[in-house]
Amino acid sequence: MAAETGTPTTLTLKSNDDELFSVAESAAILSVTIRNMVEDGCAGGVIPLDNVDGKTLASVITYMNGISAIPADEEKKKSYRDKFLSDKDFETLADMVLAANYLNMSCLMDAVSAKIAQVMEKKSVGWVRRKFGIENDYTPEEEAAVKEEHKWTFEGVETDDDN
Amino acid sequence: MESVLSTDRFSDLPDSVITHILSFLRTKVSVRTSILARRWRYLWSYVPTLNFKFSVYEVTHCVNQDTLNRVMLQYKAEIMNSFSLYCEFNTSAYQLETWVIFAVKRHVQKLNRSFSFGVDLPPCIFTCKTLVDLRVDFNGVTPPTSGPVCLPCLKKLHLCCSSQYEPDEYLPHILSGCPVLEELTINIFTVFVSCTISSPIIKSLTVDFDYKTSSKSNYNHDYKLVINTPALTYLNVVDWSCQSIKSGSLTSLIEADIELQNSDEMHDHFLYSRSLVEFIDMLRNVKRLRLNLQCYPELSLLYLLYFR
Repeated sequence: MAAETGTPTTLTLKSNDDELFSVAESAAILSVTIRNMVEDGCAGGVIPLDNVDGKTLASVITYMNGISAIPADEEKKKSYRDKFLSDKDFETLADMVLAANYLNMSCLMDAVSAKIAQVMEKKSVGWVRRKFGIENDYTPEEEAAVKEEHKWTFEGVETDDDN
Repeated sequence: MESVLSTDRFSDLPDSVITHILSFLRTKVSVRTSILARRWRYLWSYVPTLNFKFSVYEVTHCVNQDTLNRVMLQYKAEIMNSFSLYCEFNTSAYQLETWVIFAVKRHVQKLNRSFSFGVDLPPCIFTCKTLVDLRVDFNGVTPPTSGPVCLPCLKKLHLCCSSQYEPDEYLPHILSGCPVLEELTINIFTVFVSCTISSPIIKSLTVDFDYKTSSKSNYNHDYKLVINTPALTYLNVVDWSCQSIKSGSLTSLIEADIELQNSDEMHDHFLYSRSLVEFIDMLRNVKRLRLNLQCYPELSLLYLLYFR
């Protein structure tokens, strides 16, 4: 264990675009991926995070520091998460969910997933395809058949596609 | 290169992450994603939650019990974390039981059944070994006053009661089958005589007997509230027409939120104020107390004496 062997309490993380970040070990181990590396003794030098870019990693580290500074008070943590995500656009949320999945951070994963779901709820099929980068590979006949099969899910739907 | 990466970011997500995102949506919206592309056609059916919550418009125009049956026929997830059923349309006890068994067989952990519309709850709800969080509504239905209650993993229980049954007829029976319960919430919107809440283990208790939304005639009560929960750390009582409130020792209590208003038809002011003073005395160890008392002037005098 790191604490017992006197390993430094600050870790250096490297994004896939070669940016370096220093972060307190106590905050970084919110990520199970990083915690496992620390426990296996692989965290001595620089920890490369190949699936996360610098901009997203900076944001994740802000979150790690913010949330680990809050004592065990679920309500305060929740309001911090809400505030942290409130100004993030959809593209950033997409990057965050990928990063949270890769870093295995369940609290961030849940918060970002819920936020993405909340945005999706009110948007049209076209908007979701555009923002998710989904290519519609149905033939027009297949698409009509799927729509007919789940007709009830398209009734009473008002969408708002402003952004 | 940058822009290609950014538009493809969701295509890279494993199915497990997409179904996780979809689990935060109502089932109606997650089923709708089947139209997005071939990969998405059946993804919704692996989402570990079913959430049937509908607007009034949806219930009157496009949703009925056949809709739910079709969804369940296509559902493929073997583990269901959460099952919510807020259907306001008519259904039979048999139909409801079929749905609940569907969830129980998938090891459901969280079950929410609101708007009962007079259909009795299937008994298998009360013997579900995997349930951790249960919310049920006894509106016009028979609560379990006998028969097995065995909820070995249940930590959180929310009961909404407005039936002709006395809380003392079903509450002790239900609580006796919940050996690890931590959080209990009870809303009662009906006339009753006595409500005794006894549990040596629960840590959080919310009791809401709030008649604000009911008509004035509903103030016609004469009931007792008895709280016997020594392990409690949080207590919230909202009570608008109690005639007597009693509590056992509350030495672990950290936070209390108490809102009391005595009834217009108070039978015995002296007995009520005495029970109240004794109850408030039980709260003496709390670290955070919010107290909202709206009572007759003669009662207020008593509090003044007590808190001087």
